[in-house]
Amino acid sequence: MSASVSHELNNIMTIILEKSGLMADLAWAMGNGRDLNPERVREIGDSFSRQARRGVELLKHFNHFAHSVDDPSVTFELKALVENIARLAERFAALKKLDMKTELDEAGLNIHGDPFSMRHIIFMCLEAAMAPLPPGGLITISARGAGDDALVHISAAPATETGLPRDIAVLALELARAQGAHLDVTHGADAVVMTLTIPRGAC
Amino acid sequence: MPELRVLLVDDEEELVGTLAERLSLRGYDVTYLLDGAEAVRRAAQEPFDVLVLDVMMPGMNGLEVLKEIKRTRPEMPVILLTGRGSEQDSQTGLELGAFDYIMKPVKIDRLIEIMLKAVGSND
Repeated sequence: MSASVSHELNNIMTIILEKSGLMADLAWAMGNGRDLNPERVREIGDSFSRQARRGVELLKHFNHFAHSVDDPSVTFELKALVENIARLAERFAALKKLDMKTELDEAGLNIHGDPFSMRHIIFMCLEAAMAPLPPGGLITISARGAGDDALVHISAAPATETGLPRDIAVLALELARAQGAHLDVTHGADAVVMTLTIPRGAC
Repeated sequence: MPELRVLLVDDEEELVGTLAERLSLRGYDVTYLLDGAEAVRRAAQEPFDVLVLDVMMPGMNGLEVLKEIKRTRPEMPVILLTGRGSEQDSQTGLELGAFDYIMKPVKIDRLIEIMLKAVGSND
């Protein structure tokens, strides 16, 4: 996870450095009689802002992730946690040319438990869900309340013959059990769906 | 100034577009692509002198592209762009026939130096 984030941050800094180098190149060219369209300067300025915002957003999510180890027993908001881990997993999906969608309408879904372990379980489910998918596949993550439980659904479409990697799925299952949660896997015609059932106050 | 035809491949469009523009300002003939499979196809059809290739790309990654290029255009030198912590990829790339590698952030003068060395130019 941290290797992926640092790789993406390195890409962001590389773009900023290249744009800065381009500005120096254009200034040199202007000094040698070449015209420079002011629009070009504005475009480069926009790129600096865009990349800086991309970096800030990534660091915000990484910071939340880093702080999740601070206290293993707290009340946390599930939607924010799922959004956090989904954002950090985006690069893994992009490297496999997968689309990733989050459906998290329900705010205020509070859980008491270990926020780091919960992130770990959801990330492992995502890793398992992504593994068999071909380019163009779709991962959908949703979270909702169901009585005393909260449910996180991770759907991987299309369903493939390969199925989920057994080692990762088994580990996710064991980690879920250790947190008082339960993990089910349903193999449908169109998708494989992993459902994580989390007792809202008992994990 | 040598008239080098350079193919640049990286999935980060803002990076590869900017690198291409900076090389063009220095007189090089640059084509850039965002996709490894497309790079394999174009390299087989067009007379590029050198390929500058990112390793970590979606779909067909840089090492897979390198393998294919070495099969179809073995004479074309390939320079790999790698991130920090990718020493194993760099080593594998060299074993697969890459001419050299350069780490991001790229120093453009260093990239040009390696490109010229790769094509055997003394300029």
